[in-house]
Amino acid sequence: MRRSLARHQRAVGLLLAGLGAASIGACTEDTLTGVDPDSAPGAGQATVEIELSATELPAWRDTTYTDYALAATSASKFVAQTADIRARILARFGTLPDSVFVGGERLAVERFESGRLRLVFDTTGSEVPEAGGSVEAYALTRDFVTREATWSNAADGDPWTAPGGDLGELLGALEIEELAADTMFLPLTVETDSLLRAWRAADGGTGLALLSPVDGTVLAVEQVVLAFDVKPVGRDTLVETLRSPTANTFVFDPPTPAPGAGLRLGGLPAARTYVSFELPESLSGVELRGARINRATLLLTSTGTPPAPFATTDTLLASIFSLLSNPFEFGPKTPVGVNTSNPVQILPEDMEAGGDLQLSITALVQNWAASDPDSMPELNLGVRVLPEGGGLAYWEFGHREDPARAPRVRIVFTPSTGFDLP
Amino acid sequence: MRRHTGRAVGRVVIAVASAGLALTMGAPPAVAQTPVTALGLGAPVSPIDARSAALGGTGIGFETGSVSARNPADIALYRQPVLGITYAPEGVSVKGDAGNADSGRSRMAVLRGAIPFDEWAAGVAFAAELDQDWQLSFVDTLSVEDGAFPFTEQRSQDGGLSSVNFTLARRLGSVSLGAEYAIVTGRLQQSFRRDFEPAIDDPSRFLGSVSGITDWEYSGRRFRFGAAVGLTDDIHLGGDVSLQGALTAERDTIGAEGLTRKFDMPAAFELGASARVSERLMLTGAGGWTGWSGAEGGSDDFVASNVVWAGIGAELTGTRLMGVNVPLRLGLRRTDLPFHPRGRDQLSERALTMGLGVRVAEEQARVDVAVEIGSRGDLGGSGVEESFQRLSITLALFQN
Repeated sequence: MRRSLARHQRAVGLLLAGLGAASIGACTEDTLTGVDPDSAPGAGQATVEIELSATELPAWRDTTYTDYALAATSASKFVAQTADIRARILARFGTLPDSVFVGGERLAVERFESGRLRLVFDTTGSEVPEAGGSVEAYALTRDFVTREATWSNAADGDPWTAPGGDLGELLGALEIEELAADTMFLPLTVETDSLLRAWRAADGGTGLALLSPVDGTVLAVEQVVLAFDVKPVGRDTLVETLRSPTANTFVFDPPTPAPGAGLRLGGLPAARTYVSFELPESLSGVELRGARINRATLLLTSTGTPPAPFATTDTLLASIFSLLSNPFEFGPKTPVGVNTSNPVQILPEDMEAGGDLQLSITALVQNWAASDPDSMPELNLGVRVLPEGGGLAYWEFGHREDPARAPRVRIVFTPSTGFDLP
Repeated sequence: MRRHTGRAVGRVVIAVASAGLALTMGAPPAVAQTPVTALGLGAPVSPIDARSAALGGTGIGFETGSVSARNPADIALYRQPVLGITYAPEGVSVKGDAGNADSGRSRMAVLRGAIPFDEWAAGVAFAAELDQDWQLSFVDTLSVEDGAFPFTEQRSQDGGLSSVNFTLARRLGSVSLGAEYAIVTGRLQQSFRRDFEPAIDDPSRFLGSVSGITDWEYSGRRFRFGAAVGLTDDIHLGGDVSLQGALTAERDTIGAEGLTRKFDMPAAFELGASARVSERLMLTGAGGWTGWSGAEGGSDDFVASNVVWAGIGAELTGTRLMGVNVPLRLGLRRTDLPFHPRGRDQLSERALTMGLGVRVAEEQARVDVAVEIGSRGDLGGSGVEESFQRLSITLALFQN
């Protein structure tokens, strides 16, 4: 009886071992590798590319809005005297002190002994003739409104007597043999005490203008600071004090052409391209909404090189961002969403040849494809240069009505897999 | 001037992953390097044990019962409870114009249990029905205006059909009769994944990966009736008839639209006989017909055709190996396969079979082994061809 039981247990053990081995390997198949893609079976869905011209999208609208950066808010301001452009910096110093701290004690200013303008240049954006250049500071005889001043006007509707600013007394000059350093000082050669007292009394007065009389000079000035030495009452020592301008802009000639129908990026005032469009729900029977968007690109075709001095050989950066509303309802102040991709380079050699600026809108189109048609019927986006107001240069691109250069949307996508049984 | 000119716009301009596209667009089906499990509803699996496999894939009309799941009357031939499992892995070489691709399959062909009581016997069997497992990978390059993107693609089907069979049989003298009700069930998961590498000429450009997955659930039922007759002590006959309802396949995937497909499943009949021509030699033969042509689901790609199968085998007993009786078996078989690419010849499977068996654990367990070497289809005619070597192992436990 015990022997029979033992035999039985061995047999059961054998069977269980077999069951275990079977269950581990049941219903499996090794991977076939290196299969010919042209004859591989299965429901792998095709990845396809489409390209849609703005002319094929009935709801497509595009425009250029400006004034996102002005000369007054530009990071660099320019002094220029070339055949293509004349530019002058206007500044006003309105917070000059009537007392200074000396050793923890506040003392009245007895006298402004001397003064100078500290100029910080962007040397990569500046050039001076081989024979040397110069910068001169003139008192303005007429006030200006910072955000409105242009080469022609001191303020909106208020023209200068002499375009470029009504110049008065020469305050000082700086000879520049070469831009060896990025910081230089332009000494004030007038009677400093009376000049600065007058500025202090009149909140900077009418201010000053910086210009260059030497042809071939272009100076990108990142900072203008008034430095002056103060003699406090009752002390023999001088105290150096610094003041930034309370008003600072630059004016230039020729003025930036107003945008036409072409789509503009950059320049001053800074221009952005805003676009609104709807994608088709399906194309050639292939559903686009609901598909996996592998890549989506907005292509803007350059109209070529802008006129001097608005052309550039520098590489600018373009950034594309979503808009939270339709820009054709809310205008230039349409709320801005997030950047939809990393900035891309605007390569001058491509743009000069009428090439395409390719901007990734993958994330935006992915959101569209994943959303309900009612919740996201249209795509709204904007394009700008980074940083805005970095210079006068701009690029223009074809708009919807430009048949040869109309914007295009290129999408690489994979439709939803149509798994089925035979 | 545009960087790219002469393009069609506003429509699909470039398409890749050609096989998938071809299937989607209804173009002629891809046939080369296609495993038979990827044809139609898959490859039928014979729910037979290793002894039957070694004897030309017969498994019907034996003088003793088998742990196959063919003739429900066979379980009445057992005198003691039995439980058997058959595991059948196979190595496969799938042929194609671009070369051969090697693979391997493994499946549990049948798990059969039976308990006799008086002249009756009751049994249950879990049997493989259709194998739909396959997976493959390949590399290719997607060339679009945005660049050339190499990618690796994987496609797979995981699952198939099986049945749970409830059997009742009765012995009436030299005749046994059996009836069986089967629940046909199963799941299938279809998936693919495409992983792109950065563009060849500009690594800063990339495409997101793509994947898809769908689950199907099968349900159906089948009735089978069989008889086994001992004409003499040495000659035995068996046969069975199957009637099957429609197979329902329901797509059951989160986020995907539900879909129900129905397939008319085939009726079938099988006949087999065995004869002991000498004390040591038994000959057997079997064949059958399955009406698969009604199972066509309306696909543009595949056709379902009726299946005829036949096999013969011989078993030599009395051979001793290391002091143990070891029956030696040899057989041949040929069977049609039901699914084949539209416009192509129906596939057939041919195999030379062989095997042996041994009783262990003092006659309380039996181990049978079969080896089948054969091929399926032919590249020129059916467009699909694979060679295979299948090993079947049956472990059967008897209660004395």
